[in-house]
Amino acid sequence: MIGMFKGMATTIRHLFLPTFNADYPNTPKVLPSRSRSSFELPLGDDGAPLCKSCMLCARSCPDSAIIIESSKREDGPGRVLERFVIDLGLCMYCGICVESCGSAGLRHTGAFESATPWLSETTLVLYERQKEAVS
Amino acid sequence: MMVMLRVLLGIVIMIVIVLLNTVLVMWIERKLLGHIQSRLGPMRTGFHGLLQPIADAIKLLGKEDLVPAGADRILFLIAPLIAFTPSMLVYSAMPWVSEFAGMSFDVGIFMIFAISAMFPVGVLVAGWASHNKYSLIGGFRSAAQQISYEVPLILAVMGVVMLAESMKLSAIVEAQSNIWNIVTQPFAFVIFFIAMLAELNRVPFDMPEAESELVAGFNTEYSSMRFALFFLAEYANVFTWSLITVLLFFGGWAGPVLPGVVWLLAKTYAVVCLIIWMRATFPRVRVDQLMDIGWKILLPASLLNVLLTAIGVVTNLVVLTVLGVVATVVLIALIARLGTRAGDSLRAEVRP
Amino acid sequence: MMVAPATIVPIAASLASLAGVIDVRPLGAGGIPRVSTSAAGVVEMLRTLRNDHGFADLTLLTAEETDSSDGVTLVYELLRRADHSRVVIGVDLLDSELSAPSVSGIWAGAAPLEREVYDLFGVDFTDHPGLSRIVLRDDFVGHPLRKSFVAGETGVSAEQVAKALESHGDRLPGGEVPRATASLFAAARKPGDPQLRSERLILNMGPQHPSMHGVLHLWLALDGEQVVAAQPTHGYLHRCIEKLCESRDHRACTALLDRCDYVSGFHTELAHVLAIEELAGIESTPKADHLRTAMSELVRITSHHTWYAACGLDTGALTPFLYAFIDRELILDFFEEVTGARMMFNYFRPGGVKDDLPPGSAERIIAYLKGFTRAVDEYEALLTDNEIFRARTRGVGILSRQQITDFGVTGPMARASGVDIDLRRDEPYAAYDRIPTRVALAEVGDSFDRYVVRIAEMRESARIALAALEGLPEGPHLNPDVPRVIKPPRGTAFRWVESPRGELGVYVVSDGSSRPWRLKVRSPAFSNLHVCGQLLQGLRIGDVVAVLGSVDVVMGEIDR
Repeated sequence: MIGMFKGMATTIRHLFLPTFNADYPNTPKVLPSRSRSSFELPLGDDGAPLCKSCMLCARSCPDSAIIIESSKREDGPGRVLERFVIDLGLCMYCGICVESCGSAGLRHTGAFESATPWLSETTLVLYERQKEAVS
Repeated sequence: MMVMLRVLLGIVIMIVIVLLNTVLVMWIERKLLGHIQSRLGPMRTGFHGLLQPIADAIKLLGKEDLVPAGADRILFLIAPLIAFTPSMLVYSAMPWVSEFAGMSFDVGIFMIFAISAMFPVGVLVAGWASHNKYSLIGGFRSAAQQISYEVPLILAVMGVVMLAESMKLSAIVEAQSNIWNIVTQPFAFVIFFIAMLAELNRVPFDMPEAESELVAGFNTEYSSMRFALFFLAEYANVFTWSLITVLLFFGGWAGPVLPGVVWLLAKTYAVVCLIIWMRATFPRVRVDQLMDIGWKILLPASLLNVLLTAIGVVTNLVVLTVLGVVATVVLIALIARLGTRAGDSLRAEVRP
Repeated sequence: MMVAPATIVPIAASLASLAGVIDVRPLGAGGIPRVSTSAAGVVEMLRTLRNDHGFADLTLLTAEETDSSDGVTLVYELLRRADHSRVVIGVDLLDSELSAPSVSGIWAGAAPLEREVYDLFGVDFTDHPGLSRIVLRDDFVGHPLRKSFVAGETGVSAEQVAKALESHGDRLPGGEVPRATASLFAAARKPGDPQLRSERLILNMGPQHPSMHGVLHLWLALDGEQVVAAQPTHGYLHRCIEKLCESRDHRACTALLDRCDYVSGFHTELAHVLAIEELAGIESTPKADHLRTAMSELVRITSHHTWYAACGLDTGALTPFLYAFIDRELILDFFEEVTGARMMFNYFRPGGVKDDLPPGSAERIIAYLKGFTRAVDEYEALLTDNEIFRARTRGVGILSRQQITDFGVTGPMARASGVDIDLRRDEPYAAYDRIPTRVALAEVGDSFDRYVVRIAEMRESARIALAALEGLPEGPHLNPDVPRVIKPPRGTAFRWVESPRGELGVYVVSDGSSRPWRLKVRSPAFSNLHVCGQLLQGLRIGDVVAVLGSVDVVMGEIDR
């Protein structure tokens, strides 16, 4: 019987301790900087993405969730990024893409509330080159 | 005609009061469990989720009322009513209601037992009619459990009745005006409380709906308002039996300064909180252990209590208290022996 | 007690003299001898090794496709606990005759493993007690781990399905008894008490059941509340991880293997990384060894938290769940800080770990671990001392030593029965040779002892993690010589770690490319689960759940 009372003492003690759970949406959660979360393509000083369209991330992705469209640069070597899409419906947030990027052109944002009732919203378009800029 | 109106009005007021208290018990359970478990419990509906039970009820009303294929349709549909009705009907024998509604019973406590014995019938019918193996096992468990524990429950109350020399609840309360029954009848209280937990299907005796074993037990197949009726009935029973505990052992509405109603409700909710606190702490016993406790420990103990009370009545109440305390210690030791296994330690040996 | 390569020679010599040996050669760089034999002689050879040479444990039974894809090689691995020497037996089967005798007569636990090989490779085992599919649907057509199987190919006709059903013999039309569950149905059909005219009941517990630890499915034949026969069925969480790995490079494999045992991802990762290191000849750094050890032990604590939570819920106690999850949450926060994820870490790499600890992290973890004992004391106050919990668990579901060897049960379950095995101490990996590991043991082997052993292990794990972090050496966290894309030479590597559920092994066959030719995860929970069929007999429904809770099944690891 002593054990039962010991248990009851433990539970009643917790009643008077502050709760561990936070009132979540009202108290927002900040993730540590390494957290693998949603993605973004950082822009350079010139406003163009740092991404060099080298396809390393797309090729290393275990789920083939990354689609990169690029065109040949007209004014020199290399390629111009046209469109960068990650299908979050496929993504398993392993972080291999960010890890394999040699030019710091892809990183995590810390945004994690990407739940959505619509399948179409799981496709994350990170970059789309403006048509006006082309012409 | 006037009498009829008074009775009808009495019934309506009674049901409203009971349901309000039931809703409050639900909310207290959720909040208390939450805070004991370091959670917040419901927070969104009203002040600290006060309207949560009402929101739940509205949600349940909006759900489809399913009748499983292969179920015994009529029995399936009336089972929740069989379970729910007695939980309201018992109040006809409660002291203040009986005086208001002009239905005074001299055998009040007996009446309460008789009516509340209907609840397991509803559970058994629900289990049988659901055409589901889990429901069936839950229903049978419930029937076996309630029959086993009704006997020590009533016999434990015998001691109280012997002291008050009446079965009328108001007479039992008045008999405690000098000294509460918990002092003179500690042994009866322990037996009563354990048997009551079993009657209520509460932890550690929540066998009929053991969710980790039987999914949801007898109400696995129920949805919508029929599920809500079972749910309401159970929580109404928690309130009712806490109230009866207070009336039988804690002096009912007696108390200084504050009006009787306040004392009665305060004591009742203290018992409710104790039941919830136990739910937060204890695991569930097994079916065969439940039967062991009921038939092999509680039944002889309650008979012994009748004998002790008789000795106390002919000698004096101090003797009764002392005998009761001794018997309680022995009873607790007997129940605690359940978990022993000869000659071994409770810790693992840690070897390099 | 690690087997030094020099000791292999005498074992190899004695193996060569066995009957039916085709050849003996070392398996990969690990120094384990590999014996080839024919299908006809394998049972006799395994029996000799078990009875006369002390190789009592069948630790692995799997298959791989032959290099030329013209057949399947069956792989058996045996372990001799006395000196921790291992031997691998390979049996080459050609497609023309994909059949081998079953070894379930020697080890009862081989039967479900052979069902898995049949399911995924199509090898027919003769004399098997109930050969049928185990992880895939009964009407599935084809054997997916064969290279000729094209993933994602649909277009299976109804006739093919019907034919598959006919030949595989499960879920038959006309109410005929499925082969795998035949014994169970036979038990259920026996009449009950003649005077009561009672009937037995078959209860399908799960896969949708609140306490089936995910998607386990138990067939129970009941006589009232009592279980007369039980059989676990699984496969509802089969995600073809082993097949998926074959089309991904080794680094992506680590990420996938996290999802195998999702409550202790580091252990599967570690076994895989160790195997790749052995294949490619990569050295890990001392700092990485310490970090791997610390993380493995921390994740063992969180895994035991999950078990403790479920164990409480299964016996009907609500609050242990929440209290365990508070501490689990705190440790998961550390994981997120260090690895970037809370459960799917993808942190270990061949040659080290992905990132060093962020600044301040080590101090925070150390401070937490120093106060951890108090948390465990609280868990014990809730359950260990509780009379009801003891009444529910003591003397219930006693596992015998015979069952442990027969079914290959390892980990806390074996230790609760007094079998003193722990790979951290017996075959140390990572930094376990530098940090003394103590082993928690109990005697009786009932549910309560399994509980007690895990509680003691939580305290031990905290101590080891603390020692590993406090003694963290300076230096790089990742071997700088490791190439970006690892292409190990042709060979086989097989590495073991002690996961929270027992001995977890990863078996990798490399064909020289950046992708594994075959990757197999030897799941301890698989063996621990299949012993339950025997363990649950004679118990009551309430105990079924309590015993399962004490077994600690993780379906992700069992189904893979």
